Amino acid sequence: MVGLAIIETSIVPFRGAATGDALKDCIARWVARARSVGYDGFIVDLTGSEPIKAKIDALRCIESQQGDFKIYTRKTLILDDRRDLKASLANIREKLGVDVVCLKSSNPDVLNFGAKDSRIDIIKLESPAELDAFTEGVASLAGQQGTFIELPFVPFFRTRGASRSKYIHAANKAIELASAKHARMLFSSDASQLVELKNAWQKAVVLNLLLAMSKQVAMDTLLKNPAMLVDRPRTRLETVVGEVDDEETEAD
Amino acid sequence: MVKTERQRYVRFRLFSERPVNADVKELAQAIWRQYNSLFGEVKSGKAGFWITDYDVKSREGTIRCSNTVLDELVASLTLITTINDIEVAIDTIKTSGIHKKLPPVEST
Repeated sequence: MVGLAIIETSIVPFRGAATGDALKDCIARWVARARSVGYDGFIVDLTGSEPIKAKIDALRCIESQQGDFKIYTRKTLILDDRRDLKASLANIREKLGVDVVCLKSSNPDVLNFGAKDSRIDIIKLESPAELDAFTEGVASLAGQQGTFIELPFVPFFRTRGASRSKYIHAANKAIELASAKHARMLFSSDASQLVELKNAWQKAVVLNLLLAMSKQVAMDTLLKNPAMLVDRPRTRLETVVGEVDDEETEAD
Repeated sequence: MVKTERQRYVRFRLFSERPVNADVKELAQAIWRQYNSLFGEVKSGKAGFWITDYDVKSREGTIRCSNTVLDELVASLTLITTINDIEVAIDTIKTSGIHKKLPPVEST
């Protein structure tokens, strides 16, 4: 574990058309906050902030000025129809240019399809309907394919009393299913404001105490799995390049 | 063998984008309220934590608690979102069993 970079797996710093200096200032504030709570990098969710390509270029430029702080990008596909998902997955990485592709759906069929498709990195479970759609089959496929299951931290802030209890109950069930089927978990801040970004220790305590996750699994969820997630596109690329090389060798 | 309760000292820092003029009393009230809503009155009665020092300018302070309620206290601090209607976050920085081992509260 020594030298493992601590990555926050989802922040939503801008909704809408932040560009130029406004975007730079915004990201600089997020980087300062993330550093102060102990992160070495974060993944910016670009869902709903068009144009994505321009934002990715701007973020790459900012990242180069931030020294050793890593900035990754992600996009969430919110779809309830399997055919729509199939259509949008074609050539998705080149089309979007993001590092991580996430899927959100309240349809178990769509989640099933997403869990076994290697183009999807994360299945995000946020609303009660999405948590209900997360079945044993989806968990099993996610476990086999190495797809990450993500729970956001924000509902803990935004719900109170009975709704919070319901969310905790549903999240507990999802965690149990995921651990039984060896699916890797992520626990993202999903913060849209600076005050919603919490350090890994605090998140680990919440996972352990409120979601009954063991301390070891909580540490894996917060430290090891995010590092594996950002390494995933590179690993996938290496596999593809390896396959191409093998074919060429056979042809020779 | 009788297990003795030990003290833990949690260093924390208040973070907010807008200026927040919360004194120790308001801070303590916010923590108790959150602890109460999360763990109920029975556990709150046994919790017994105490803000030993807090610097309003640097917004850093220390809370003393029993080792048995440390995690519960950290969870409560994590879930506090507002003080005096201003959005805040309470970041836990370090925990120690010996107060002197914590870095001194920076007074600006």
